[in-house]
Amino acid sequence: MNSSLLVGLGLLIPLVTPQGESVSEKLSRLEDRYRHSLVQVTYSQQVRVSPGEPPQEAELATTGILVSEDGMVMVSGMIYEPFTDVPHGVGVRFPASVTREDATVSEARVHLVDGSEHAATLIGRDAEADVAFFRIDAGERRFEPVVFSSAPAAAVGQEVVVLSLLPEPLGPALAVELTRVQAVVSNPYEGFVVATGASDPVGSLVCDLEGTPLGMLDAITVPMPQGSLRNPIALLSVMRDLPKSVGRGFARPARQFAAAASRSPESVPLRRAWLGVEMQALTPELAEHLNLPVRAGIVLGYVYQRSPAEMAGLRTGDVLTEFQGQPIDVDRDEDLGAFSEKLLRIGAGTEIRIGYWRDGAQGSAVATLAPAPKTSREADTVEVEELDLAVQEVTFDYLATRNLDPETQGVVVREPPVAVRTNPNRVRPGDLLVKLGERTVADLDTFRQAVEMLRQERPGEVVLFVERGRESFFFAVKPDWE
Amino acid sequence: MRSVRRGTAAQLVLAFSLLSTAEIAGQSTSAEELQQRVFAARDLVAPALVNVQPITDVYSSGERRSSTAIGSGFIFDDRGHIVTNYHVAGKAKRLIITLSDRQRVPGVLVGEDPLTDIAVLKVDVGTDFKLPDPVGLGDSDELQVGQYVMALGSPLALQRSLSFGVVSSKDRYLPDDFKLPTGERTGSFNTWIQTDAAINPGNSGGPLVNLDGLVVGVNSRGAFGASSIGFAIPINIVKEVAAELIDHGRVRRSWLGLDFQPREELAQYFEAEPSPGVVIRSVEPDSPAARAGIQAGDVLMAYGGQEIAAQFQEELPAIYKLIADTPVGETVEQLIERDGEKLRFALVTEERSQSISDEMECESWGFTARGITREFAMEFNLPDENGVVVVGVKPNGAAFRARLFPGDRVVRVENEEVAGLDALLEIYRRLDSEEVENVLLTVMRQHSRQLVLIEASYEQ
Repeated sequence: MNSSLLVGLGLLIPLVTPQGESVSEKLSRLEDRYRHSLVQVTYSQQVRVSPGEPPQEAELATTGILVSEDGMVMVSGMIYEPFTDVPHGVGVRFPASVTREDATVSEARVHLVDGSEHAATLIGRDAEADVAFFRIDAGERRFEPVVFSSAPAAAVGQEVVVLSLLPEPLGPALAVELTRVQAVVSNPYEGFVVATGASDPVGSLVCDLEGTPLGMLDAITVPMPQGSLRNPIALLSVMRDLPKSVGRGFARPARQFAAAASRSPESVPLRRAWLGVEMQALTPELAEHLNLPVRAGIVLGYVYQRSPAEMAGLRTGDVLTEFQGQPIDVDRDEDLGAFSEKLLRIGAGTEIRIGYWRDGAQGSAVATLAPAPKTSREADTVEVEELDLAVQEVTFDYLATRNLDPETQGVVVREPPVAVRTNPNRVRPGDLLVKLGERTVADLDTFRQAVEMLRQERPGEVVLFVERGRESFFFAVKPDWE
Repeated sequence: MRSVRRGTAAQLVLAFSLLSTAEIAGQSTSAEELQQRVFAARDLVAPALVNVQPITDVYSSGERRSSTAIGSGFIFDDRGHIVTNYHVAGKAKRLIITLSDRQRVPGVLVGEDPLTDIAVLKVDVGTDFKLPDPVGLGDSDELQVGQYVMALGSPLALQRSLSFGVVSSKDRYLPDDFKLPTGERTGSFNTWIQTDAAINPGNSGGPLVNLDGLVVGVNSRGAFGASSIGFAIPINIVKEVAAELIDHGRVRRSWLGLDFQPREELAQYFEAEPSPGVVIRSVEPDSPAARAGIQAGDVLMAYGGQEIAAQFQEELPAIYKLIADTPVGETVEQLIERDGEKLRFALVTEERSQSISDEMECESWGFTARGITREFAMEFNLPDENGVVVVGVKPNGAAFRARLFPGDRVVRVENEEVAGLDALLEIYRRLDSEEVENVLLTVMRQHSRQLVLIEASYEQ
């Protein structure tokens, strides 16, 4: 009863507050108020079209909201998704548990509707609020920020305004759209759905007719079974699902990120927390088949070596049923994304309590979440121009996906020299470089040292020794010391 | 019987060689004479030319389906054996062979060898059936670049076609990681005859013939996107393989776990001057070579007392063949050079494991699977060869609904380990006959272990 009453009141608001002002006058006022607060952010980012292929540089753009006078711009956290070459506007994100990465962007620029343009720097991401920040490098210039508060909530049927940016060649220009809240949802994401024709809605501002910010349009994750992203068929089916979101926008309520937007983002911890497991949902059918007295939970498909999970004594095959004293309600793979989000947002260094089943007996464990280790997408890279070679450090995911021992030494070939690519047994991206000339390469440091020595010795030919699974190859490279 | 026929072939060779000598002595061959020789060679081979249509089970769609293809072949001996490519007739459960007089006869698979891409078939007809005479076999070592050759076969299923050209190269090296459509490596033990006689899909398995009417190669590969570049397997290795397949149904080979690189690619690193030996690039873990302590970077100088040299890559197949041809279980001394020192290792060869695996359908579970070979385990760096790999998942079938994916490695069914395809077959038959409703598979998806609960479907 109470809630329906509240909804009724929400509907009444536009009727009781106006003092003779027409809707078009309100919209015009909103346009005037926010036209300098929404910006377009353009940047280059390494994206990977498909796993296994080398990353490529892509020019990307997203809508941002100014949140401080000195030029802090808030954008959706989805810029930290590696598969960002999927068009932003369509409202699809890939499952956090599988692909979420820290992003590196370059050449970021912020474009305002007045035609001005500034260089900007990516500050980082607030994982808990799932927003990212750019700082405009504009010296003393003052901006017109949007101030979010945690209070307002949207109600079904409520008239709201979507403020979005028109894309090129019309923009950036502010578009104002009067629409209604179609649904308020809580599972697996909390927020509300509005009808919108915005072509590129992610990052658009939603406010009520009085101009109170209610939320920001964002993309949502499409949950998929663990690991299936690696299956191109699964990727295709996601692509096929894209049109479903056309004409609708998912808005995250302001209270999710109001605090992040108001505090100085430089102090926000930017690395996500990591438990170090691969997960599978325990469906009721699976639970019954395994004779477990629960109907939901998480089966551990893999426990990464030296991860918090391993150090807490968890093992592959354990069925997690309790998290922080509460039952885990994951009973289908689609819910894993939300659980991963929960873990990510807890923060590194936090202790979590886990209850599990193993071999018919119950157990419990306390794990201290760690900052997620680097993945191969964000690994440090060294380029050696003289050898026409780029390598990167060995990362935990590289080792796990290749069934390699955690003690494995070497560096990973990122871009092989052009000259040896014509060799029938050619060196390939992903090969493990273990020797450079006579010198053993254990890691990036020893690689750098070996290169330094070569620069002094200037040999006419350098032989690389690489391992590929259980095979190995030698490659001769003629360096260009000039 | 065969030796008698070979006698005939030898006489033919002799006859034609004499003719050739006479021509060379005469310093000219008129166009008309060349034409007559082409006709004569054609008439020697054409009767023994066959068209091969295999009926094969394919499993890629998640269920067993029959498939067919068209290839070529030739009658190899007077016992009715036919030689063709493994990639034409391998794994065939039924064969339809069309003879040159357009009679269609059934055939059976006698033996197959993916590593050389050769298969031997036999026509399945009564003893009173009169087959055409077999082809005469030439000596592929004697081929010369520029020599006239003809390709006979069924390009694009156009039966009894003949194309004409020359030998473009007689020792073409094709990388040893070349794979057949079925995923197996092939062609490690021979260099290839390259010809500009047109070779198209459907020519596979057909003979490459010299002007004496003798078969010098088995047409096997084309280069797509190119024209007039085709490749044939030299007949000399075909003779050896076919004889093994006829006698034993398979080819036994020795294995040491060594892979090589020619010295030329790494000349400066290993030695400034051209020198004997071949660089060992790879030593497979748990192989006879690894157990003996041979390391990548060692240089193999002599094998069983025979000096080894591979300056260039086209010299590698002969070394692989030398090792493969060693009797299984024989002790062979390897002379190795390491950092300027000469070392001797005695290795006992092991039998090279099969590179192909059978496939099976788990019909009521809605998927197909294949066993894991050593090569497959190597390629994906699997810790062992246990389990089976999912080949296909039937759309909307039981396994599909349970989210099993192609490429998943099934390691357990309920509480039973699945060691390989035989184990899965045994478990499947048992559970299927009991009509067990829910079946729990444990699969490895990359490094992650997944539980897949299949609700079996017993309709149909």
